[in-house]
Amino acid sequence: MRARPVRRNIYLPVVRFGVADSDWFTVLLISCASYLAPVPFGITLLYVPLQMWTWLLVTAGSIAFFNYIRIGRKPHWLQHRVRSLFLHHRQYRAIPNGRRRGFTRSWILSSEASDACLKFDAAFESTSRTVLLLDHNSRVQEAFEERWNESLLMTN
Amino acid sequence: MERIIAYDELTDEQERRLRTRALVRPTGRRRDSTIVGIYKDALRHKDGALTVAYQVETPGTMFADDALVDIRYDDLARMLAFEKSPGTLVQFRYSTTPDRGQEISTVINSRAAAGTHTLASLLQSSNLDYLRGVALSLPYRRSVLTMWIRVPPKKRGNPTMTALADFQRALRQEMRDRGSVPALRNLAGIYSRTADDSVVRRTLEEEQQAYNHANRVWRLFENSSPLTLRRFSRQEIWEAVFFGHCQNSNSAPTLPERPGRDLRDYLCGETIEGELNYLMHGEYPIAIVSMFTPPNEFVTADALRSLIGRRDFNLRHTIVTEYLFPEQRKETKRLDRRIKQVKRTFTRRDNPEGAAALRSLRAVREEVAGARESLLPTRFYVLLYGERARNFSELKQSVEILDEQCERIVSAIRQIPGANADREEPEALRALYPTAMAGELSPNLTGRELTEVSNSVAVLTPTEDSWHGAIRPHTLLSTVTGRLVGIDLFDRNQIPSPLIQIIAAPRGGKSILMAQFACDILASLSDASVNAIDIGETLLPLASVLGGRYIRPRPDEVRAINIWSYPELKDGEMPDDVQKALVVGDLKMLARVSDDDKTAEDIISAVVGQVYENIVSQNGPGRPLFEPVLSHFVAQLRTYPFDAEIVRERRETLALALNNYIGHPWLDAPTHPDYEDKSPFDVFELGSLRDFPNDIKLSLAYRIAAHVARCIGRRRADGTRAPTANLFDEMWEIKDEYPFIFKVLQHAGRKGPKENSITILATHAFEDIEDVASLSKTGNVIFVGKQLGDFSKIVAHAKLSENGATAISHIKTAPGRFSQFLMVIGTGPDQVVELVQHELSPLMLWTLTTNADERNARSIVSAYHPEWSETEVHAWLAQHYPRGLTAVGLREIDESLLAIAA
Repeated sequence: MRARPVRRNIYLPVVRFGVADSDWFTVLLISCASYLAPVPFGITLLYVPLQMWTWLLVTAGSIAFFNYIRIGRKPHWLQHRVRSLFLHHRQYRAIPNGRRRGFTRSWILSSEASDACLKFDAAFESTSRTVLLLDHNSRVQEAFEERWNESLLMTN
Repeated sequence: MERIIAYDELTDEQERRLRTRALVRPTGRRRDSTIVGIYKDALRHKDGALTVAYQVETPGTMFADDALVDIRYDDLARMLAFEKSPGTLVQFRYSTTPDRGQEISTVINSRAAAGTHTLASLLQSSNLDYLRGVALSLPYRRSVLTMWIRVPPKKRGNPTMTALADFQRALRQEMRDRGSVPALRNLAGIYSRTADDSVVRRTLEEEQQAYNHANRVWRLFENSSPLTLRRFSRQEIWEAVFFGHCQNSNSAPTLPERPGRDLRDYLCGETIEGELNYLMHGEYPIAIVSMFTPPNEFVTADALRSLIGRRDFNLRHTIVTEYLFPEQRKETKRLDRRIKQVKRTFTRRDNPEGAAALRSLRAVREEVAGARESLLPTRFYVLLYGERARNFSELKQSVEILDEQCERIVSAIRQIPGANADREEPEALRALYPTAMAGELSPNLTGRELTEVSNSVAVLTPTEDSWHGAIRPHTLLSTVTGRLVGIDLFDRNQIPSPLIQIIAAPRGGKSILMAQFACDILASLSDASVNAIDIGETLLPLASVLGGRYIRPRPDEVRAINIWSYPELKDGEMPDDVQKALVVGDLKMLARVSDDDKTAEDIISAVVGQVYENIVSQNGPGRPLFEPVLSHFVAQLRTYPFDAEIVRERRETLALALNNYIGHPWLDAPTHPDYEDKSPFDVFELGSLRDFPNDIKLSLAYRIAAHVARCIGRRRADGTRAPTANLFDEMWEIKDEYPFIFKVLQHAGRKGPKENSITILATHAFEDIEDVASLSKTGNVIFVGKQLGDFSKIVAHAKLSENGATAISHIKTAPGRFSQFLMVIGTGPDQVVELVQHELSPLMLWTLTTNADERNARSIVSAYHPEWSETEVHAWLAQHYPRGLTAVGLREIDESLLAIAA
């Protein structure tokens, strides 16, 4: 069979100090913020302004962090991890009488009176349900009567 | 004491109240879906996108020519490459489900309501029951390919702005209806009714416009697809989506007719939960295996066969391939940017990886230039479903099997050179599964995208499957890929030729397959009859069990077959050309006339015609049957008025040659009344003819073959033609000993299609039948079993591809378990080539076995218990030695068991 080329490395990230090129902007932002944040306080530590310490530590920390989330991890590892932290692992089923608002709003807007769709159409629901119930009951009744007549015929 | 009881009751009451409260506010978050409804035949998503689904016909091309498969994938790549609206998503879902014998039901349902052979039906049932047992222990598999296309909305709505406008309108309406104060009091209620639920709402006209826009895209796909597509109807797409969302359900609710009805209540009817590497969707554990690294350097169109052709991948799973269509201009820009980046980063340092990356990037850029190709981010993953688990023990077992299957899938993907796959981790699984369900296509990036040009990623779509089998099958075989397929040799749509050839080396299972066909035809078709020519008593046990006639001509037991006779003779109808040709052939053989002697042939033909004219007129309704015989011919020959001297001289020599047979009890006599009786199963044993003189032996063999061939076109009382199967076993011996039979077969082969009949030939090698042009040319159904030596002639005759030829050399036969055959049906682009496996139930095995040790075993049991019928003997052996003797390494049975039975 004909071999078709696969260039798997075309979008591999360009990495410097273990940080992908797309993440360097974030590192830069963090380091800037960490430098600027302590400036108003004018604190020095070991004769060195605090912003120098924070800038160095936070930059090193962010590089280490981006290394940690990339090396040996699957793509979007961090996103999935954060998502799992914030979203509960249980997605319960839709409950008709649950506390959460039901999916009752129509996704079609009526062209004449678009407000109509904003109202919960309880009347429609109950009417159609009642009609369905009546239909079902009459079908059961008819089926039963047929069976009843059949048994009468047989016993005769 | 009483106080303690009171406290307990209080605690119980509190617990009950808590539990009741938890019912309406359960733990976790409410499940949601991106599908809000169905508009016409399309799924309507929250963001206004529309999705349709198609059933895709999967051709059985695993053994077809490679070029054919390549062309299909090239066409598929072209379909994917053309310009589409950004955000369009195409998803292929190759769903495999375990098959616990659905085809068995099809065979049973295909049986004629009346007129089938009862004993054959019983024997067939034993085989079907055996297959059912096999299917329960190791399920077969069935696959379905569907394609889903999601078209984004033309105009992107802003749900927040819409919600604000809705709130305003609703408040105004409420104030108008009920006054300002109650409206303000009900502000919370109005807000909850109109809050942004991220659903885009449109009027019916807008919806219709969106549908028309999407329909144009769908039609583009339909028109350019190399695969046959059938769009799902409204009901079908609803059922597909509903069953994907509600795993426990057995039936789908009636689709509400009201336009705009939100369907999420129906779709989110089951809880999804789990913190481990599987999720529980309803009562089913689910896992995902994703491809993280694409194949290395090159990929071929057969890359996925290790996934779709594996017999052991019989657990329910779905192979999903998704193609995202980004804006190509942006993708090209991104590529250019990337080229610059790589240049900057690597090439200055003369880095080999950088140089390689740059080469790849330039190659891709070149392909994308001029819109010849599209860059497609592609996702490839496999969804695996465990068995239903209703309690902890079932769950444990189900998860164990699921884990094992995941490992197998991972290793199967890793068999594609360079590709790497892994099971999704718990966090990723929770994020990815909601978009992996049927219909929930999402264009959002998940980090699983492999970007390449369409021509390369197209091969990640599984597009082929095993042959689906006949609609009304009578025989069941299984493909080596694990699909149970039904065969109907009388299906004129799939099998236009009436000639079926079974070619296999000795012990290759050809006679047994032929006997299986005979039994199944009798069991399934109304008024079917089977006539067989046997050498070596292969079919004797089957004939005994089915109550058929086993006819062994012996010199001391005269039962003549008159070649001159034919069914319409008694009605006074003249014979057709085939009948006359059969008589001429017999006379030529008796008179030792070679094929080159045209004068003799003309003389015989002329006299045969005259004899029939004289005698047929003496027959008719209400008159006794008067058959022409050899002596009539010789008498007519002597008196026929030939003009030329040379012809008269030749006539004399012919008469002299035939004079020897006048009055011969076998050759010059009317057909014995025994042959006139109708029997559904007749077997003629040619081996016993060895006791006759050579010329008589040849003529008798020829007449038997002619008798069998004449059964073609047997009519029922209402004038319809009853199905007839003629079987010829050991054709290699027939070719050596009775070559005249081939002439009979030529007639049979050509008449068959019109007369509702088939002819099955079994032999060792294609060379045995290749000389007879009409046999090899009309035969378009070939079962090729294990071959010894060169089999290039079969390959050339059947026009098999290289894959087909390779499959022949890999055919396996396990005595007592199965025989494999390469089944070839038809020719040309719609040729079906499939490696099938013939499995026998213990009872069928002992009935049909031709193994010497097993035949001896049958004889021993019969001798020990002469009062037992053949069926009882086979049943006893089947009970004690279900896989025969050879399969379990035995040469003889344990006779002490017989003593116990006695």
